[in-house]
Amino acid sequence: MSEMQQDFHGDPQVSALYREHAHDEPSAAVDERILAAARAAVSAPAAAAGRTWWQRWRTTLALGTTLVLTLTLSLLHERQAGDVRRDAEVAPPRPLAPGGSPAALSRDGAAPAAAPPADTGDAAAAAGTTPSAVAPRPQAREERFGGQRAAPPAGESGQRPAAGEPSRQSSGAAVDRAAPAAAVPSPAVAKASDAVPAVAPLAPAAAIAGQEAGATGQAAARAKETPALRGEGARSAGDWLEEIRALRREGRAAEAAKQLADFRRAHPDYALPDDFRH
Amino acid sequence: MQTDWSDERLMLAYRAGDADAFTLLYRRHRGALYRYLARQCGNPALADELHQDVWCKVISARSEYEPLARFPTWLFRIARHRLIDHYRQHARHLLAHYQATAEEEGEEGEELIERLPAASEETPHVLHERHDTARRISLALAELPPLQREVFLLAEEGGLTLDEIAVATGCGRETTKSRLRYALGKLRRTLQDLL
Repeated sequence: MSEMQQDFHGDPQVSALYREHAHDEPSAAVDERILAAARAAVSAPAAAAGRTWWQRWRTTLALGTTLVLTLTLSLLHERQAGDVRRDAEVAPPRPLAPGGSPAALSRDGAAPAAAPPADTGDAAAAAGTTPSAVAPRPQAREERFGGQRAAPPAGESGQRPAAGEPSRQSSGAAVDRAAPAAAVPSPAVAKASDAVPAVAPLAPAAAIAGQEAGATGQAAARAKETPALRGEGARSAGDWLEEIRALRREGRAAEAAKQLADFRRAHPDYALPDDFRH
Repeated sequence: MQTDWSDERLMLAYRAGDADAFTLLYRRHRGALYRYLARQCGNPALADELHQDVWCKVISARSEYEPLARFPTWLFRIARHRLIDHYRQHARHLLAHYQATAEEEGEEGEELIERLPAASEETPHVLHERHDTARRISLALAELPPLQREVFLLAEEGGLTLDEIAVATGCGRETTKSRLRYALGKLRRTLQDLL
């Protein structure tokens, strides 16, 4: 009544009398129930909210985790396959030293015999270079894959579709071109010589040539037909072509032509660069 | 300290999860609300039940609470609605008094209030009183028409202003003032020897 507006002041005496004797209160049990309900109402939503959050997000989290794991594994697998492919394509050719060790040469002869027909890997990579070994660096891959590739790279043939396509379309004489691959040294031979520049264009074509050569078994015979050219194969095809270019630049055209002719004999299936096709 | 906080601030704190704020708020208003309900329904046991229901509604409505009005106004409006629900279920003859509220707005308002029946002397709350003076006050209140008694209790127990009572009861301010004036006049006449 004390808060009545100014235009109505009520009856202070009646109000005072009423308030003096108004002491009724709810029972303690009612108080306890109400306060308990109030506390429960405040605490329950927090617990419910926790459950709700987990229930709401656990499916999303599970899906997200699965997605991340799947992507990670896919990327790892893709990268691994890409590395293998790149190693095969960019692997530096390793010509035998002119005075290659007898042990290495003996391994050369043994490699094709031991290699199965499906050996289209590193051995085939050197198909275009006759005896000169154009092989990837197996030790590099062994380092990367922790020694998992102790066996010869026979299984890599299926992982080189890109390298295989152009070669299949290029010529029908792939079998003949692959003949030198049979005499190609094994990766062990490639290890024997270091510090040889890479001849990248050689690898893909040679790899496919090696695939087909392994099936025919004519490579060994072809290798025997060109023993005289082994000395020319001591240097890599790329180096040889560079030397021919150098001769041309120096104006020694006749000598360059002779070198090119020798090169063609030594590397009959080598795809000459454009500047040599005239 | 929270003891210095206003009712509205305490209610907002409770809405935010502070149970202690509700305890303070409850202790401030428990007696007034209970007396309002007890004197309106005339039954202490029923008043207990209604009292608990009203506070449970406050608890459940905390998330929607906005301090648009003073807390007592909001609280006693909930209590009034709960009383009307009770009358609707158990005492339709009393509900008629509340339903007449809208019709009282106008020229016949005060005359209608005068025609409202007085509370029976046999209502339970009269028996509940022990003290003689308190018993006489309770009896005087029980004799008031329900709407006059309601306005008086809202003013005394809830501390509501005329405007707030008008809002809580859905009546005009002048109607509220008339009801309060009549209630006070009757109480003064009845309790004259105690004043």
